[in-house]
Amino acid sequence: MNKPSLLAEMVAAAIMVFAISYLIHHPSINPRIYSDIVAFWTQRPDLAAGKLPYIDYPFEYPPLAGFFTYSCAVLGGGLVGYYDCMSSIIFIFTLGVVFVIVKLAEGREDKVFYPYFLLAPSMILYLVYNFDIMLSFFIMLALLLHFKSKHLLAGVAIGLGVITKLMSFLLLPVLLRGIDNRSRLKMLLPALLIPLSVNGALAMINYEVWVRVFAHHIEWGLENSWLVNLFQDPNTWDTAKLFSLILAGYFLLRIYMLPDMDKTIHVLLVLQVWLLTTYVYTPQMNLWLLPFYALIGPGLPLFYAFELANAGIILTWFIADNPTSAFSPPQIMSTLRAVMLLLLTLHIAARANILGRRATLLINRVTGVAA
Amino acid sequence: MNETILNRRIYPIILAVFILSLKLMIIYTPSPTLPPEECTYPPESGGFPSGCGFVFDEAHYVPAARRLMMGEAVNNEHPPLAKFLIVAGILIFGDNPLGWRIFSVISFSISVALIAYLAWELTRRRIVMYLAPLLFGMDVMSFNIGQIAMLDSPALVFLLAGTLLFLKERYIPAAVLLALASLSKTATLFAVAGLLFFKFVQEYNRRRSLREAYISWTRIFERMAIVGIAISLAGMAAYDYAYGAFATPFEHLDYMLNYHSQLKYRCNEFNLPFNCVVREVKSEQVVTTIVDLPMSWTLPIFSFQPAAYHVVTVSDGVDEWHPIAYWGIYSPLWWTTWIAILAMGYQLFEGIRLRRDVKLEAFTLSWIIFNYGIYFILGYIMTRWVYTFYFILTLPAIAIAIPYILADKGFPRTVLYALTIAQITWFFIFFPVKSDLHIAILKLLNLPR
Repeated sequence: MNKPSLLAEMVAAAIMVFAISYLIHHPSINPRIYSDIVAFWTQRPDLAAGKLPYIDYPFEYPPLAGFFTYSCAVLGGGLVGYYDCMSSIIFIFTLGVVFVIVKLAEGREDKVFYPYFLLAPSMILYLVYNFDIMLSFFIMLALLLHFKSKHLLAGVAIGLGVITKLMSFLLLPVLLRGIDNRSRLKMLLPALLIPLSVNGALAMINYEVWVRVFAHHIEWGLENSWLVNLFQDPNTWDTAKLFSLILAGYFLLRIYMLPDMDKTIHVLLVLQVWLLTTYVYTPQMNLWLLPFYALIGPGLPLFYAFELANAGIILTWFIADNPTSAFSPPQIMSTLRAVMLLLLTLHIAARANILGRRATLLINRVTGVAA
Repeated sequence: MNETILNRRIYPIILAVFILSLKLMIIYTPSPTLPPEECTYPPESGGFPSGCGFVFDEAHYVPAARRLMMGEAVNNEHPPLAKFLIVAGILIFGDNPLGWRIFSVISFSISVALIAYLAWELTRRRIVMYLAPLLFGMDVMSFNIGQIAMLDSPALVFLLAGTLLFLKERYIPAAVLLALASLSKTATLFAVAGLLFFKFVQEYNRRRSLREAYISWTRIFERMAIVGIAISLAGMAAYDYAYGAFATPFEHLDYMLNYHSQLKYRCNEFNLPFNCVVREVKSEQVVTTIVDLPMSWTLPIFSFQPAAYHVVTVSDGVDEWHPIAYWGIYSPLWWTTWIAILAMGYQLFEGIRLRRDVKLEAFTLSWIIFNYGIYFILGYIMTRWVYTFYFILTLPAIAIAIPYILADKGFPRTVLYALTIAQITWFFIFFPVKSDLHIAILKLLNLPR
């Protein structure tokens, strides 16, 4: 019997994980597990009424995410139709990530270990949930296009990522390294112009509403960040946010300044450091990392504890009186997740020979990996 | 004999002992006439009566120390270490001026010696090592603030000791001391930032690559940050848990940050860039306060109005004088700030261009920018209250840079000696506690008294 191709096996796994995620969040099924996508419809009459996000009412996600949401609200005609439409888009992006991983794997020595992506608890719980798989697709696509020296298109992918869930701009300093100035310009232009032009247009149409998208994020407090253990009183969260930004700024710069290395690992480290230091680390953001873990192959034993803690956040969210307060079950899960992510980051850094010999031995001992 | 006294190890100690002796001579002045119980909680009418014997901000810190001894969390807007040194003084010497002020006095005297060691470390010039501590030790504002029970003097001694070790590249013990400085007064963090910036400039000058300089700098920074932050947080946590002040030291930091960021003045009359007149209604009366902005600290013609921290006036009907006068006043050294900035700026530029060692230049400028320059942002842009005594932390760098510039850069030595004599004379005029003989000499020379 012929062995199935990697692509076929991954597509099959993607269909399975999507189907489960689709069902556990489906608005017709009760009880169901919470999903932001369903909540957009049930908690925002403006969306259900077919009004335009950013113009008629503020929508806290970037414009491409808003466009998909609005389109599905109009095309779907009702909650289930809207949910099916959003799920379809998410499914297409999931397949897109699968395809890009297979393409990226062609240029790598590491064997793809797709269970880290497609069989991960986060994929089940947080796939049909928010826009993170879309961002994940644009990040992976930008990386692939960069490797193929298609810098203009890589810039377009980054720009589209920015208008989907903002954080793809974190890739830029890594991807801009080691290429000539002309290629840098080709990548930078679309990466900047796409978000600027789209946001500029929306700001011109209704500045008052558009600006509230950003105000929302500035005013938002800590969410699933380990910092909540240090800043337990919500009145202190402005300082916590400042602290988080200082940490993020320092450690990102530190990662960006690392010597040349495998860019896949470099981008992964950047994303991990951002998630470790940001004051908002919603559980669906794990989807940004999973394709990378699949790409760099097996041998990450902490992955399972990391994913378990991440799944635990939503599974304990609604049993807590105040799920955002320190020492509530979801925040204990968040803290455990942060510890695991820190160890995973160090482990991956050790694998990439970034750490010193003694630190590498130590982290290998901690993570249970044979030196 | 001269060789012994002027030995580079002995001289700073002798100078420190001299300054300590001067300070101990006057440590009881002023003294309280009221019992501590009447000077622990501020009366509803406002400030403490003069019988409490407080000079300037002692009115905050001595009562705070007393309340700390009663187990009360108080004065949380400032870190606790320097206040606990006041507590320690009271426990050792009793609740009297000696107890309140002893650690401040000792700290200042040691600081004077440390400036000599710093001057040697930075310049390897004997003349600079001799004169820098003299210029600083006889700065009236520094001497006065270093005489009373405030946070600045202990903060300064930890800061200077940490700086010395930092310059000697002993980063871990330096981090310990710098953390103790920040546990005494948060403003020392500006100086720590200045030190780190200095190190970065030095690394850049060595390596000529921003990336390489950054990588090299991070090794130092991270070693120091881990130790320094751990000690600072441990100190704050110990206080917070012992006194039940805050759930975590981070929440305490938040409180401090909020408190200090709210200290803003509303200017009614700008006299930029020197001062701003604030008129506030307090108890149905309009109270006028002048905010002396940073430019007025360093320009001789536009200097701020000296503040009477504690002034006793005596009159014989014809003449009047001040046997006790703690003035918040500049000294000739303050007026050399811009000379130091310009000369060191030029030398730094030239040094980097010609690939020379720029240790002193980079240090001086970083120190001044981060300790003095920061108040331009706070005072002018953020309209936060700023006080002239904040300049004390800047002075050590100027006290080292000026003798170096005047001794070695083509100036006649007489200029340096004249400055030193002017500084000493100024100190003699404004020495805070004057004997009859002292007053008589001032009168004879027709000097202010």
